[in-house]
Amino acid sequence: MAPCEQKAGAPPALERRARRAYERGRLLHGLRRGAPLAALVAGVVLASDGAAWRLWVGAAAVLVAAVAFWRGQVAGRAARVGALASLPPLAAPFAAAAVHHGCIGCGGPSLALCLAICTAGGAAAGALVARLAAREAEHDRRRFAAMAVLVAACLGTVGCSFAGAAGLAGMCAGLVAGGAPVMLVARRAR
Amino acid sequence: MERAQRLAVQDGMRRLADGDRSAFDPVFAGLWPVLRAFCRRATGSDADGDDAAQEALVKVLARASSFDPERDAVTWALAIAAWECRTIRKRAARRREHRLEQAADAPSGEAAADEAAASRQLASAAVDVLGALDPRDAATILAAVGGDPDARPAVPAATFRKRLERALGRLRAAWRARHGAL
Repeated sequence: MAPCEQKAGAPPALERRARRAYERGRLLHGLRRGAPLAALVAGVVLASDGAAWRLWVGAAAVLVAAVAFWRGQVAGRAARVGALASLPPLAAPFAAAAVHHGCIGCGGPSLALCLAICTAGGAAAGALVARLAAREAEHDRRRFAAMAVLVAACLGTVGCSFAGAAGLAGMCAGLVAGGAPVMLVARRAR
Repeated sequence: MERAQRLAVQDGMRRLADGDRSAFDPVFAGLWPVLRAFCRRATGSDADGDDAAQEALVKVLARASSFDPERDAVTWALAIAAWECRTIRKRAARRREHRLEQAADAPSGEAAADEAAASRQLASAAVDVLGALDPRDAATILAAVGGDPDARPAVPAATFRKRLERALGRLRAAWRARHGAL
């Protein structure tokens, strides 16, 4: 095919119009993909303590994810995986409430349980990100992992912040602890 | 469309759906001639076909992000183009209807001149045919058309109606003989 020859038949303004339409379509795609995340974040925050700063962190995460969806390719795939991986840490406050204490706040003897739940959630997220990052091409893997971890960590913060700084630290440790072994195993398997 | 070209468009659409902007040019160049030829055939007009093809191509690319790579890209694009052709044909039909309505409601300018010329021709033809009828039939018709009661012959109304029916029947026959169907 000879693109230049065939494009010569098209009106000059058509290509510009088509490009704008494509970008508009991508933008809508990003917003559509980001909307469920926004609803999820709002639901989690409102169902727990309703702290404004958690809402802002969640909004930033949704914005990053929406931009990544708009850009597409590695960033879009990574944001999708990051959003999926963030589900366990996002569910942490509800898991803690269901397993142990009915209240949202953590302290005293129940802190250990909250920490364990956040660490487990982070580990699950890390393992998922590492597993799917290993499927990416070698040159895309780091970008993929970085974007997925960014989205998962920001969204996970909304969930695990109910346990305070310890919960966040546990989630981050879990991310690393869950992701590193999977990444190593995948690398050796190649 | 050649198989290689079709595969190139398919691959390009898959990449565009994933957000790869570098696939824009091959998809644009591959789809434009196909859509233009299809739309020109479907609308039966080069101008309408080009309009439909442009709209279709813009819509295809606007929806590229939701393209399912399992589907055939060219068939998908042609389906959008077919819909666009249908829309353009409907719009053209509505425009024609609107013009006809306007012409019927308010004859003016060229349309009014045409209508006046047609009326003159019709009147002239009618006079010719009337002239060829029996004078009594012609007088009966003119008396009925004129609407002047004094011009009517001094006969009962029922008799006049019968005469008029017979005269109109002869008028129709004479018209058909000269000008064909009434």
